[in-house]
Formats: sequence, C-alpha cells, structure tokens
Amino acid sequence: MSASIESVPAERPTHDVIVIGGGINGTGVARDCALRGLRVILFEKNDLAFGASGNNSGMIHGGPRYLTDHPEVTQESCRDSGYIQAIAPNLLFRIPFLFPIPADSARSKIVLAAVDAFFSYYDKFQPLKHGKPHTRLTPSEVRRLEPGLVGDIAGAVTFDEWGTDGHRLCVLNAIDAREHGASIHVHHEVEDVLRERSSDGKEGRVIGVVARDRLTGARVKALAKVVVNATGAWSPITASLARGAKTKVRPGKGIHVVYDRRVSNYAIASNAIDGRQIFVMPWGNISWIGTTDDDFYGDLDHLTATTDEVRYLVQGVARVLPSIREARVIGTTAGVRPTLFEYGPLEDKLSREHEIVDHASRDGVAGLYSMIGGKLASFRSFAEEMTDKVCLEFGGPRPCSTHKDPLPGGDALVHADSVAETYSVPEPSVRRLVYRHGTRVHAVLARATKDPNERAVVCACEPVLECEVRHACREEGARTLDDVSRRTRLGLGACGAMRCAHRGAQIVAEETGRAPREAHAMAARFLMDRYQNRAVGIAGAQVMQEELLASRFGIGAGLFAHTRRFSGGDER
Amino acid sequence: MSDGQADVIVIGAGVAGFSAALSARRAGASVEVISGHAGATSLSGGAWDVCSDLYASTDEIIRPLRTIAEEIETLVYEDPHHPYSRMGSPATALIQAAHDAVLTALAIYRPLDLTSRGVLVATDLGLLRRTATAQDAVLDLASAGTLDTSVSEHVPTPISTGVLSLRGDRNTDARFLSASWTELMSLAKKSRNFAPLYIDFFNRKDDALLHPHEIAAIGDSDEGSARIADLIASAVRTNKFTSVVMPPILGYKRDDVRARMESVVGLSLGEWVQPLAGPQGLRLSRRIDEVLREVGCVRSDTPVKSLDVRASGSIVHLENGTQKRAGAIVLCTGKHVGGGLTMRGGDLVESLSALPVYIDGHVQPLGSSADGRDPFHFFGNDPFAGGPGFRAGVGYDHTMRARDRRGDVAANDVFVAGALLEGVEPSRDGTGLGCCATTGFVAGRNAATQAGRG
Repeated sequence: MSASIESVPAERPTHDVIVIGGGINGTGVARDCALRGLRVILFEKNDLAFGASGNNSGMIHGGPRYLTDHPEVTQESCRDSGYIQAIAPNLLFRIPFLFPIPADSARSKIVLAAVDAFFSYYDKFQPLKHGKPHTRLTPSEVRRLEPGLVGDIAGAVTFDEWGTDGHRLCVLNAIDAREHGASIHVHHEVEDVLRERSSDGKEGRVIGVVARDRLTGARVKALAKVVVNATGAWSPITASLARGAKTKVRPGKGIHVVYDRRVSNYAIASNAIDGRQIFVMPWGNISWIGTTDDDFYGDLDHLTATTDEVRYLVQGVARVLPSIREARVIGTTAGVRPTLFEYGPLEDKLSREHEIVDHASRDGVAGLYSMIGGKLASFRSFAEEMTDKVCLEFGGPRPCSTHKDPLPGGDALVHADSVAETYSVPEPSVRRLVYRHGTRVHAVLARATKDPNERAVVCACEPVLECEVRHACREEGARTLDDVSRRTRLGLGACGAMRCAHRGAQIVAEETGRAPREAHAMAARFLMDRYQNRAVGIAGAQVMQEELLASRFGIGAGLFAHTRRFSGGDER
Repeated sequence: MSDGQADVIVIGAGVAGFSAALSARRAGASVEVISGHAGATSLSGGAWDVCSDLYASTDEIIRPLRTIAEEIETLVYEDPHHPYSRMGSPATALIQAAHDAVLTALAIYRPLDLTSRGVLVATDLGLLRRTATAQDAVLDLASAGTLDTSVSEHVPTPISTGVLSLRGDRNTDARFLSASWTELMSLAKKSRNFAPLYIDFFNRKDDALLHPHEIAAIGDSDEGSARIADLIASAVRTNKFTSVVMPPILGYKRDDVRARMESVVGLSLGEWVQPLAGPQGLRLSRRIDEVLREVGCVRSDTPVKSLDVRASGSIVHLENGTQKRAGAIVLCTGKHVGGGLTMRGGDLVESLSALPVYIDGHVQPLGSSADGRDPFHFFGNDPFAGGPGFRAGVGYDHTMRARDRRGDVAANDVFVAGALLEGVEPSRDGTGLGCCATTGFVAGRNAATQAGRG
C-alpha cells in the first residue's frame, strides 16, 4: 500500500490540522482554523454537505424549543444566528412561521394565550438575530393570510426565523478556508489514522491520516499534530480508525418531502398523528414538508426516504392543509442527525446540543478530537469552541474572527436587476446566482462575457446557467454531476433533471477531463438517483412523467442500453 | 350504416389509431376517428422500433448479430404476454403486412424489411441506437457514406461525418456529440470519425430561445431551407465529409426539404433522432392527419367522456353530451402518456370504460404511495427497465377484443390496440411504434369484419 502513497517526508508534519468530514462542522472548523493561521487539510468521503448538513430544513433558527428549560441556549443560538446573517447576508432569507391553534377543545383559548406568552418571551431574543416580534392573529386574519388552512382555528401566532441553503453554507466555508491556505479534498475517504509507534510497539499520539480518492483510487497521506473528526453520524466509524478511540452518537434519520411549488404563503407548523411537531415550509420556488425523527441503524452512505415516512408527513400536514395531497412531489431528502447518545428517551426528546470529545483523556489517543452533535444554526460557535481547543495545542489562544469576517461573496449586498442588465443574462437566473454567490456573482458571469455560449440555461427549472456549472467544477471543487447539483441546485426542480442531466454531465465531463461515455454514465446515474428519490412520494398522473422519462432516455435515446455496459464500480 | 353513423369508431389518432383506421377503411368500412390531445406518437423521435435487442452491447448495437425477424422470434419465445405472442398467426407475417400498408401510406419512413438488421441512428444525447426503420430525414449511419456493416475489422480510410450544431444551442453541442460517437464507433472497432461543425444560425437576439419545432419550421420555407443549406455548404467546404448529421431541422410541414438541401450542399444530410417534443414526432402526426383525410376518415375532436361497454352494442359518450354508436369501436388511447390508463384513488384504471386492468395475465389492483403501497412495487426500482405498472393494460384476446374481469370477451364490438394493451410498454420494451402499428392494423381489420365489412 505504501508504494502508491504520494511521497511526503515522513517525519515532518505537512499540516497543522487534519479535518475529516466536509459537513457544516468540518468546513466550519476548517475555516476557523485557517483564519487563525493554522495549516489545514480537509478530507470528505463523499461531497461537501452530503449528509445531514445538506439534507436538513435549512434553518438558522433561534432555538425556541430550548426556551423553557435552557434560555441561555436560545440566547446563544439567537446571537449566532445574528452573526451568520452578518457574514453571509446573501445566503439568508426570512421565513415567517404561522402557528395555528385548533379550536378543538375548551382549552384552545388557554393554549393560544400560553403560546402567545411563550413567543413574547422569545421576542426578547429576536433583536439578536434581527427577527421581527411575534404577532397574535384572529381566526379571520389567519384565513385571510393562509386560505388553504382548514378546520376550526382559535387563532394563530406568527414568529420569525431565518432560512438558508445548507449546501451553500458548507461550500462557502470550504472556499473561505481554501482561500486562507487550507486544502480541501472531496471524494477522499480517510482509510487509516496514523499514530506514533514507540519501540515497544505501543501506539501513541495521532500523527496523520491516509486517504483514498474514491474517483481515481489514488492515495494521499497527510501528517499533522491534530486530527478533528467532524463526520457527524459517521463519527464512531471514523474514530475507530484510530484504534481505541470511541464516540457514541444516536443517529436519528430525518426526511423531507419536496414539492414543485410554494404551496403556502407561510411556513406552517402542524402536529403529526403522534403529536410531534412538523411543518410545511416555502423555500425558494419550492416547498418542503418535514421532518421525521427515527433511530437509524442502516447504511449511512445510501440513505433514502421510505414510503411510510412520506405518508407520515403528508398525513400530518394534510390535517391543516389538505391540498397537500394534490400537490406534486418532486423529491425527498434524507439525512441522519448525529445526536448525542442517550439511552432511553424518545428520539424527539434528545438534546440537539453538541460536545467535543478529546480522545487523549478518554481513550488515550492524544491529538484526536471528535465533534459530536450540533446543529446547522449554531455551527459557527461550535467551530469556534473546537478551534479554541485546537489552538491550545499550538502554543495558546488565538482570536476568533468567524463572527465578523464575511464568507466569500458576503461582503456586500448585490442588486440582481442591475447585474442582469450588465451581463445581459436572464434575471431569474441572476437572482439565484446572487443568492448563492453574493458579490462573487461577477466572477461567475465574467465567464459568460468571455464566451457567450456559457450564458445558455442548462437547467431550465432552477434555472442554472452553463457558466455556473463550469464555475462549480473549476472553483468550488465539484467533481461529479451530483456535486454540481448540490452547489447550484441543477436538476433539483420539477422536471426531475430530464432536461438538464445529459447536458450537465457533458459539461462536468469536459471540465474534469472524462471520456464521453463517462458523461453518459454520470447522467444516467443522476437520473436514476433523482427517480429513486422521487418515486417514494409520487402518485396519480405523475406516472405519465415516468413513462416520458423512460421514452426520452431509455429506449428512445439509447442511454440505458449503452450505460449498462459503461457503468460499474462505486464512482458516482 | 345509416344516419351518418360510422361502421367503425377509432378513439385516438396516434400510430395505433391511424393504423386501425387505415385497415378498417381498406376493408371497406366507414371510419370516424375521434382524437383528443397529443399523445406519445407526437412525442416520438424519428426512429420506428419493431423489436430490439435490449441487451445488446455497444458493438452489437453498431454491428447487430441478428435480423429483426430473429429478434421477434426471441421475444415471442420469451414473453407470453407481449402482443406479438398473443396475436395468433406468425407474428412476423402480421408485422410485415401491417408495415407494408402503414409505412407506404405515411410515405416518410424507409420501408420495413424484417430480414434486415435495421438502421443505425444517432441520438441527440450523443448515443447510437439500432431501430427497425427511421424517417427518411434521419441519417442512417450504417449506409450513409457506405459504412461497412460486415464483420471486417478494417475499413481502409475512415469515413468522416460532420456533426452540425447551431452555435449557442443549449441542448446539444457538436464537440461533445462528435467525441461521443467517435468513441462509440471505436469501441465497436469501426473506424468512423465524427467532427464538429458549427453554423451561426442564431443571428438575432432571441433566436436562441426558439423551440426545436420552430427552428424546423424555418426549413419549411424555401427561403429558410436555402439559408440553412448555404450555411452548411460554406461550413463543409474545407472539410472532406461524406455526410452530415444534424439536429432535426429539416422542416416538418413538408417532406422535400432534405432533398432540396442535399442538392445545394452536395453531401448526404440527415437528422439525428430526438424523442420527446421534437419536430420528428410532429412530422409523423402531420402525416397521420393528412393520410386519414386522404383515405376518407371522418375526424372529430370532441373529447370522449366515457365508453359504455355493452353486449347489446357499446356507446361512446362525448363531453358535449351526445352519444355515438358504431358497428365496432377501437380504443387506441395510449398508456400513461396518452391518458388511456390513469391513476384514480391510488388505483390504476382504464380511463374511459370500466374495462379492468391486467398485469402479466391477471386482473390486479395496483396502488401508489397514496394508499401506502410501496411505489417501487408499481414502478420498479429502475426507471429505464420499468415495472408492473408500465406493463399493465387492458386485457385482450387474439382478435384484439377487450376482456372483462373474468377473462371473457367484454363485448363483441370493443377492440383495443397500441400502448393501451396489457403486456406492452412501447417506450421500454423495444417494440415501439411497430407494435402499435401491428396491433392497430389487426384490430382495425377485425373491427371492420365485426361491423359487417371486409
């Protein structure tokens, strides 16, 4: 094995910190370490935001659920939400929530008053995250604002949260880390954690890792004093690579169902049949309903929603918004929360808090840390906490600046209409580009100025321009069509990637120097993934779309016949 | 029959409906064709499948091992539920007879020869496929520029085909297509080169937003086709191409565009196949309309509300409240795309009548996720391979009469044909339009007999 490893002088560390995992914790800590002057290398087995970071509800919330027992957690969440807004103003959008109270019992009025009081308390923290204070609505006001709601309603409370795109948040953290000297390796699976070996054969401190490029098979060795295991639900597996290190999480699977349009004006909270709180949420030009929370024991790399989970959500939301049953499902998301381990309590009652495990004291593996738990909304402070610890290994505290240094493109607000005019590209595309890239939109569109062909709209649903696809490959580390889709939302719209899969794959193949047959295989696999993602939720006339899909790509265009022979291996 | 009542009513004007109407008409029946919205025929590409080797590898696609007739024999042997197996007399004879009539009438396809290995066409994804026959406007890569289809490994000089792309077209890029086809040919050990060729067709600001059929329509005018031909002629001048393969831009409202352009360019020109919302499906639909008129079918576009299947004489109820009766009725409404089958309350049903839906020889209720049954059961795990829900259809006997729930003939006067049939999945099983044409032809002929003609 050592023969194929990139030769690196064995004795001298190549880096200061090795981060394993490209989720929000991994990229967050990589950025923080890089900003504080440490030499960072990050390995991600799949792609940035592949797991829970990219498959959550995309909310930077203030944590109202902690308000009654741990108001200090809510305060910290709200403050951090404010920081994230400051560093990535392009990436956050307001989500007004509607909390309807059904008039189904004599207690409804009391419930409404209690909820009202609760959110009055939450209002105290809202200024920290520039949120609007809550309001209390009469039944007729509720009907006017959200005509689709059914049933007797005693009233409702509105409150304010922030939404984001989890994929972009990870990608921007990773890009910023890279611009501060870090090297980011996606599709690199860490196979071994290297440790010092004393003359008596005992293993000591960690000194590095060996990673394998899953697309090419090439191995990379990196040596550093500190290894941070930020692999979320995978963290017990990663820690075990260091022989003797252990972490415990209680993986909780959560899914969302994605609809082709905004089915409501507000995000609406509702109760599922078992009393759990679920919601329907407009997000960009689509809607999500979510989420489930179930203990998960399966294969973390191949996660899909199941029919039962979809039904559970649809039934729950249909109690307040029956029209959801008629809406068109275009996909599902599935992720596994890396919840702190606790035996006994129901999934919902588990803490969303985080914890840093120093394996030196616990397992005698010095230099290895594991980041356990956490949530998207508080990733920045978790990363700060972790980096503070790392800095102690390098001679003492260094000041953190992640709460004030903007993420790439977050330094100013950009007006989409003027950009659209300057580059003469369609405004709907530019709005999305500005959302994803902030002030860096000019770097993307400069490509289209150089080559007008790159103005072509590759994905018509979202709509994604060719220049952004190429930019994602060149500047954002995308190596497959899937990666591009996470960075640009290509193929995630209503047509199920029918219109963009093959052109997108051709561009990615071109940018990454692959043969045409690999482009076909990549397109086929992407279409297949999108199909399997969507199939658990579709019904009715949607069967027509599936027949069209088959005639378009299967027999009709020969994609299936050729790719069966082309494809093979684990490559995505 | 009297009172303007037709002998045969055909519901649906895709390839199945067309060929049913044609054969009923040829048998001497008066025919009324009722058609609604566009279906799978108008979304088809320039290729016409009859039976394909679904398991062919890349070199077998380019150099097929067996004739179409041999493929049909294999299918009949392997799949007892496919119409080719159910229609009785030797399938090949029926298929050949139906196609001789249908393709000759349409006049825009190459004739079918079951003893041949079909034509090799390029597709807009950059792949190659084998098909029984193709529109005249589509380039046959096996014959254009005399590609050697024998098994010899050496062709002395590589044949070069120009791949034409409209600069700025968002869907296709000649550079990728030519690289892909060259690679496929070399995988099959054929020395044939493809080279990209761009024309600046979009010279006005909004041209790039034109839909494929709008671009094709430009070729329908003398001036438009002359412009395209000139652009191609000047683009190929410096290259030694033997043929040019291009997007479907050879017009779709008239059929002489290719010949006119070839006379200007001096090379063999041809389109690649583009299924789904391309001009080739529209070209086929237009010819169907024209021929139905020529052979004297009555056309109606009042939508059908329901079909009342009765032993005493079935009745077609129209949306406008009127009723129609005929000596025989042929249902050719397609499967999912045409709307022949539809999901209602989580179950799959025939959309006009109460005819039961069969799957693999049995009446079988099938649900969707709406009622908690796992959709993978319905759709299958692989969107390209298909599942039971895509093979489902109206049951029928060898005369193409619809079956009822017990498996008996539902009514003597109700026939089914095309994609609506149980056991056929034209978009997946490789029998494509050919199966629709054949079953339509048999159903139409038997319907005419039922109506007392032929």
